[in-house]
Amino acid sequence: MEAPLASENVLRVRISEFLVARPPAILRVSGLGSCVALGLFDPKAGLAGLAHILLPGPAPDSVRGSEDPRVNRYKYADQAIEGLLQAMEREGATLAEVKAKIAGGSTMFSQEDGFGDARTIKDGIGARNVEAVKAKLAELNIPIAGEDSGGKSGRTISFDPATGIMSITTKRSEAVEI
Amino acid sequence: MNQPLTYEDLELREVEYDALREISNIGMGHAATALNQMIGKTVILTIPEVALVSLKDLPDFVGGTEKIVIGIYLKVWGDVTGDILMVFPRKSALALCALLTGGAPEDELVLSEMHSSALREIGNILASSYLAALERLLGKTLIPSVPGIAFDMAGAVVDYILIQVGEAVDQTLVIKAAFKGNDHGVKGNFYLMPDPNSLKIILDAAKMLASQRNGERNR
Repeated sequence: MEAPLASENVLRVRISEFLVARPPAILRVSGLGSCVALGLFDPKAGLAGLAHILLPGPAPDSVRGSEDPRVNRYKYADQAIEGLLQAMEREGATLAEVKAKIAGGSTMFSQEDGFGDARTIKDGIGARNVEAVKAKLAELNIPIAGEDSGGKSGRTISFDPATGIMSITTKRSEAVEI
Repeated sequence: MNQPLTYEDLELREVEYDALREISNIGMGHAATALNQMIGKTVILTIPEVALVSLKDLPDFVGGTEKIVIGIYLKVWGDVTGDILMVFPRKSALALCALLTGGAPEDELVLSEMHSSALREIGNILASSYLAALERLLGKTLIPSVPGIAFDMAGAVVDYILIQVGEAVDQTLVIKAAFKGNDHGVKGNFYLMPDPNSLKIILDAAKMLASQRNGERNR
């Protein structure tokens, strides 16, 4: 079940990272569970970016905008989206042209609510991640062009800057395109 | 309540890593004995690994993001808090199910209710015996939560756990123990991730234990 094509054109985006790419590169997140993969693309500029978001946030003040390399601020939805958008704008993207695609936010364990006490309970963390991403996109007026979120399965995502198509596989299904 | 610690604050050195490996060996020894008795087969342990792993590297540390595994997850409560994850490769988990339920391994993509509950019970017993051994050793309370089970890509199984710890830390201390059988295809990994404050409690207790032992030896 390892990725069939280990081409050097496939750029893997790990947790709390984002990458911007142009064709023929393909952006990939493999083994996505409750995290969210957010793809942004600008068809006119011919480039796309993908962020692998861990937490809904909002990021604490100590982390927001921090340039300290030890601080992993892009694990938060708001920081990741801002960072990704800025990186794309530096490469020539225009906010008004940018569209978004969202995948992930699953519930991976059957009884997640059995784990916690009031301090740490993270009910529906996948859904909260998706909501946080949508709220930030709405704030920036970025339209959502496709979404495959929720459910109980992990996903592997490939995002093609040439087309803006996000292709999603799970352990059970053939690829779905959004 | 003291200021929450980070792992960096603890400035771990080789002596601490040694203590953690030793503790893990003792805990895992008890867990393996329990597993031996349950399946009636011998399970061999390898030397534990202790590492500080950044959040983004943990999915690879656990064995590759897209590999299909069975993950059993528990939280640890009490004086020491943290997370336990057990990861069985798919074939190994199905072999384990066959040994437990007496049937032949079936190639399932969805776990049956019977297999799911058998594996959850295994997770419960492994974690309970591991924690009970630590409890006796350290004189601290460690209580396992109800186990949750996931059958999916390793990366997807792990990211839920990273969400649990990721708000507080950017890297996590992982104590890893691997076990495998000679002839029956059962193998897996057991990961204990104590949170930073609990790690300090564990290390302090381990130091006290070591100095007591030295005292007895010198008497």
